[in-house]
Amino acid sequence: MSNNFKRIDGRTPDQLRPYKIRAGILKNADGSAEIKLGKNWIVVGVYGPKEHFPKFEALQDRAILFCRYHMAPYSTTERKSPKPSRREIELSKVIRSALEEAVILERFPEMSIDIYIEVLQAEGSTRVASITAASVALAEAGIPMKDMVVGCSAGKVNGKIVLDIGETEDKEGEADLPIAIMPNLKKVVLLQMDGKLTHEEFKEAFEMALKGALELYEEQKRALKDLIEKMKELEGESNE
Amino acid sequence: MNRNEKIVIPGEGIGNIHYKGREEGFIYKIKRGVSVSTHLGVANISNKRIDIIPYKYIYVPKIGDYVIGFIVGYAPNGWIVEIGSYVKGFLPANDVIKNEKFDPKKVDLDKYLKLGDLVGAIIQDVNKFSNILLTINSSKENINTKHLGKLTNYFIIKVHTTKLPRIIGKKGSMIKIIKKKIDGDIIIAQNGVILYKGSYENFKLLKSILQIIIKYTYASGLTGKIAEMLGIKLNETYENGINDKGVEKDE
Amino acid sequence: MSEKYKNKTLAEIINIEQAKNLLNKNLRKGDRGLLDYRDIKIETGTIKKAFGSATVNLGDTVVVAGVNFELGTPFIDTPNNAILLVEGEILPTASVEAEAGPPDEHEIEISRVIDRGIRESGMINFEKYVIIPGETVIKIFVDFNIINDDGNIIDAANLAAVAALATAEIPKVEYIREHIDEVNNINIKEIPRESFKVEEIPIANTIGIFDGKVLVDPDAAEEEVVDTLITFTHLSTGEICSVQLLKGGLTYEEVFKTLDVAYQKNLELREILKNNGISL
Repeated sequence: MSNNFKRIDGRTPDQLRPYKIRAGILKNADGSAEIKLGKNWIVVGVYGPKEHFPKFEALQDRAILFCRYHMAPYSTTERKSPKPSRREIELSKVIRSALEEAVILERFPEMSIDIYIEVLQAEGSTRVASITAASVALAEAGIPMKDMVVGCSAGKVNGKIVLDIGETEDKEGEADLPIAIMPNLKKVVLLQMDGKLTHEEFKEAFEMALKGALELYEEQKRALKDLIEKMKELEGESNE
Repeated sequence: MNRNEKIVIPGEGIGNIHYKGREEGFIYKIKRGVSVSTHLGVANISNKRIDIIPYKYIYVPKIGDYVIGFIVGYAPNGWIVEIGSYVKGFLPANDVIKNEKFDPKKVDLDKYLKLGDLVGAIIQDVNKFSNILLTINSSKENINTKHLGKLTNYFIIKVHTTKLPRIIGKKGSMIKIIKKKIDGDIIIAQNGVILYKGSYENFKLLKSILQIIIKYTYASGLTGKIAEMLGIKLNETYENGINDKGVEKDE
Repeated sequence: MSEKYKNKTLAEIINIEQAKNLLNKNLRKGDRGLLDYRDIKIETGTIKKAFGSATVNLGDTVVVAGVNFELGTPFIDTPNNAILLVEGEILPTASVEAEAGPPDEHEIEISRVIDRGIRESGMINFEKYVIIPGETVIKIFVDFNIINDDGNIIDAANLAAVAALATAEIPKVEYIREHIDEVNNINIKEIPRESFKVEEIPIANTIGIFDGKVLVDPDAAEEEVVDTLITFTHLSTGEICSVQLLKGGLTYEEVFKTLDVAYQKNLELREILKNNGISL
């Protein structure tokens, strides 16, 4: 029975939407990345480290990480007001808090590192997609990190635990569980849930989200390693 | 890329190997025997040693570094110098004004250095709050005193500091090839500023060579290929590795 | 890490250092065990002007919650649902650091965690409080204020919000329907009321991890020294309805370890509510 289970977009329960990550897409930013996950399209730019202003707010033993998660007015079906909503303020905080676990901030006292996350098109699970792209952008910026951070969501839709919740599934589903992990250190750095899940369902959803995150981690690796691969092919191009 | 080289990303394990890297290190020790790379880069693992050439890293000013920057402001007792790092440098007035007694009330700083002036300097001190103290006086042999203090009539190129080791090459091999082809004065500062004094034609050529080096940072045998492009025989250039004006060698 | 002492008073620094020293020895202020809550006092009906209210003391943390009802227009995508708005503020009286002004990210996060617990638990039957679908519904306001902040605001504010809702009285929907023509002229406070029936009781439990050790109900000093803070909200059925990792990270095993502790503690707080006359 469960093998025949198809989701609203035709996916199997443990299938991610199509995804693609690209690193170094912005010319002006110190580091940047883009993620496409289903119809989600998110761009991240990293600036810094730079001197923190105002000076009295700077920390003497580490850098301050600033993070803004922002949705474009045209990113949703109904126009979203461009001014930051309470949801965006909360998400900016949980994303920052997750990335703080990975970035070695102690190397840059008195500095700040700014992460700007712009959701250009939203289709559910944007916070975890944002975090996945943000950590690629930080790596591309050359900011030291203990590990990458990669996120994925799972949830319960029509009584079934499924991976990578889409927009309709989020609205109609019974529960949503976004997580982000440091895949090598095996630590959870973002964990939220809303809806209703028994302890068994929570465990099942958590483990499914974990598997999805590890699949996306491979994509992060590919996107970053591509940058270097591109810089190796001198012969091919010099013939042009 | 040879067999001992491996592309790594932050968090990827590189085991318990004696580390040899630049800056504050591109590895993070998780626990005894477990270290990970903190950067995207190429890890060269050989003889139980590891050298990571990062794709990009943040330039952390170190004592003794030769830097080039612009005067962007005044303090009561000196100048503020933009050196392209995450923090500005400070050049004290009494470092520049030596023959007379410095009195901030009487001396006009403009007489010595003005806003917008280009200066070459050495980092004298960096404290834990990242304040950078500069000096234009050096007793080091490898610093050409002509490259300290105010610099005029130079063409300027800024490259990411991550690219400097490639531009200089192993034992200075790459820069030596470039200098063989291009007449005039080339100065490379550790903050990624490259100055050239010579013809505009040569400057354009220098720029395009640097662009190729930057674009193909990880190409194997890049030095040889650049030499070939410039029509220079390699065997001469590999003799007597040079260390260009205090700039860190590739090894 | 010296920086956590920025903007702290000497007394606070002493408390933090003391908390750290004690936790290193598995001890806590007031001879509290790692899995013990501080004393909890719940009083309902403390604000007579509100439709429902409660004051909760959790150790030295004091929270006042008030419930108000208004008539309003439903959201376009949910024409058949009443509206719930949960907002909290840490008053300037609460601590040295607390500041007046619009809610900051900390206050917003706390409000949203409590909002999710109430909303997702099914505590409120949103369809019940619709006067005219798509036109007029009841707006349910739950406002809470932290009067004194000695840590674990979420658990305390959740108790206060739940107690205020469970003991609230709502203007009779039937009465409003009958008098809908003149509704603009009558004061909502004067409409006859009935008990606001809650269908579930969500309980939030915040768990800390210090050097691998799990503890519950961290006080303000302990919140500064723990590596991790995570809140689980449970239903009477034992289901989870909200999770929020507030600070730090944790291993995969620790997720389930803290979940189990939260579940056990949710039973305890549920019992305390029951002793105060609040149950299903």
